[in-house]
Amino acid sequence: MTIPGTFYGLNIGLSGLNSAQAAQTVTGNNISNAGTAGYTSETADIQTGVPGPTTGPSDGNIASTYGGGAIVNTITRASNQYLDAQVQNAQSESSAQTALSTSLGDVQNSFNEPSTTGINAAISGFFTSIDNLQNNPSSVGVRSTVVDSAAALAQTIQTVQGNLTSNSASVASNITSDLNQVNTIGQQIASLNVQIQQDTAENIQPNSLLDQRGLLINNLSNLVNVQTISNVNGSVNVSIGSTDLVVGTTSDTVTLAAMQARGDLTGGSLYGLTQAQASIAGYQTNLDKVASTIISSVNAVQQTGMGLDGSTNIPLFTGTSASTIAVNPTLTNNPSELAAAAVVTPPATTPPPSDVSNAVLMGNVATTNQAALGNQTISNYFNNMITNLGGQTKAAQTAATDATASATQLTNQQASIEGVSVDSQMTNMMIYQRSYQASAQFISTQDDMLNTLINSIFGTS
Amino acid sequence: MQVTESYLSNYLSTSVSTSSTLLTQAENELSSGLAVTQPSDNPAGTAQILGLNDSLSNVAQYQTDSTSASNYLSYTDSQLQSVQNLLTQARSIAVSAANTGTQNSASEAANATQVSSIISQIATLANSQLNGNYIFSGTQTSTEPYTPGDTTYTYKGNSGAMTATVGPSQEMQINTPGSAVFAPIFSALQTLQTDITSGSGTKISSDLTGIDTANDNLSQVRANIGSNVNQLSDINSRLGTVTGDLQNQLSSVQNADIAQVYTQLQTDQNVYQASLEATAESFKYSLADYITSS
Repeated sequence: MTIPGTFYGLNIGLSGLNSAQAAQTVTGNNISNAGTAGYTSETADIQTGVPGPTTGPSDGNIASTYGGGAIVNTITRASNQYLDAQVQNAQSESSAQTALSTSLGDVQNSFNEPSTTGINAAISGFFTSIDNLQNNPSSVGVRSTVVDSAAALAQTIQTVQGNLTSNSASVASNITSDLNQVNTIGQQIASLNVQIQQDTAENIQPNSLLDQRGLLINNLSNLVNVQTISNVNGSVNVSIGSTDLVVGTTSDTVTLAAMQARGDLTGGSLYGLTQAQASIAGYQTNLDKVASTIISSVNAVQQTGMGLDGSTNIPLFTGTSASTIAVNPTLTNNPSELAAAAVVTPPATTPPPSDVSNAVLMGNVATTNQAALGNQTISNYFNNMITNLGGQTKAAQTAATDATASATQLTNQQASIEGVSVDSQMTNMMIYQRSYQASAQFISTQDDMLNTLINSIFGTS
Repeated sequence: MQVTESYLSNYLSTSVSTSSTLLTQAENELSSGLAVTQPSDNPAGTAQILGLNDSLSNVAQYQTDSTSASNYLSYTDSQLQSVQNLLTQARSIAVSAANTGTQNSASEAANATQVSSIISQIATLANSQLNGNYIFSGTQTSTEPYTPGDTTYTYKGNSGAMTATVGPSQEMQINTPGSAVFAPIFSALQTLQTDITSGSGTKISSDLTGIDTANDNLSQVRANIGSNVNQLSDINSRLGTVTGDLQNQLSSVQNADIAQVYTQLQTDQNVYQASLEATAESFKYSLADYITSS
């Protein structure tokens, strides 16, 4: 039988010290990064060292090798690519729905319904004032009230349309900022790919770079839907649908128009925002229809009647849309030109002061089904629009809550698997400490043994 | 499952923010007293609220209109009643003038003066105004129907109708153009005055027919007004009931169920408090506290 060299045991002890020290360093790094975003818990893989000399065959037994101590070969990250992809998808969905529901919530605030100061109340107020005109057509005060109610209606519509324009502008600026972030992240991932590829070529696993890249991809999934493909050389390709953002070490600048043309954008806040923008545009168009219908239908009656002073063909509303609707200043200055009466036949030049036949027609506009509004009355069309907005917002809110819950669940699972448990690191710390102590004790014992041998040969010194 | 620091902080912050969102919702509902403050709170309910608000606004307007119409009609009727009283007085003068036959010229003159005074009083009533408008001028409400001093009693108004909207597509005429009412009265009384002055008992007797015809016509007009006033009072009380119903419906959709919301608030507060306590407790203990270096 062969025995290992005299100092072989000391080397084994040293490898124990070294590996315990290395593992303790990893533990320390884990503890330091317990709260670091994107950090993936690491484990020192302690393996058996290169085998030592063989025992040599004896009594027909198969020879064995002496163990070669312990070495730290790799430091592995507790990453789970499948789970990471799931988290990314869930986050894209959640961010999209959250962005949409937040924007629609702002749209709801802009409309300010149901309330006593919204468009619904202003429409009622206007037609009520016309009904009052029928009761007292010759009173200038009552006529002023009609003109004032018309002005309030016009102002309310203009304000709401202005609010919607601000909503749209704020969504547009968020879209620009999201898109810039997407392209910046693309550049950062590409430059990390360069370093990771270099390290990989040198057979080095750059854990902290991988963590940084993972965090960037994670952030990206909040902005857009993300697909990743890992390459053998360590780099990762990132795409949004069929639109490439990062290919190896190069990044492309993506544009919204190109992604939308290909139907590539299906998730992330960028997607939610583009949906919100389309919705807002729809509500603005519908509000324009409401305004233009009010303008044309009321003016049609007003312009075919006669004012108290015999004036004819003076419109009550000016403008053509929700952003331009206003009351004709001529009528504000002289409410007697409000055409409550029917046009008289010459030689008469002014109508009987209590002729309200045209005011009755104007009041009837409230209950007339308007072809331009899908054969609904002005109020019903507006009310349905608000109801639709409520339904759409509620649906987005529910979807956002569900998607966020599912994303939270997956993120928690990811945190549980990839995160750092301080308690378990503390346990590891004790294990490596004890292991180090034991190795040190072993070296000391080996030394004692050698001392015994040397002393017995050379005598006690 | 491994409880890592990041898992714990994710989990706890989600719990805390979820329970705090619920708490805020309950607080908002309680402080506003409204179950629907945004369309998305209840889209179907929002449709109802907007529709009910429109209906309430219409009904309130019908109530205003019918009240004002009722006042207009009642005032018209009270003026016409005074006219009818004067007409009755004129008739009794005619009866006594016809019966006495040969009266002395002094009493003839007195009777003629009385009839003349009645005519001018009726003319004053025909020029009655409400809120500055002549009520018997048709729609020419700024023109006196009968010019004072014009002994021909020519009607200056027109036959235009003033209407009030008292229900959906329900218009009611509220004015009484004066010519139809006053022309027969003035004509009958002027004839009577002439005949009393001329002292013809036979003619005076036949004048009674003219007075009676004018009076019947007036009664007919007043009966119509009375029937309209009754109809308006029915309409008004029905609108009152409708308003109550609409308001009940509105409050059942729009208003928060305070007792239920309050209970919910208590629950949400407890949950929120518990999640805060759990958060505080979770980071309290660590293995590090129990490891003593050796």
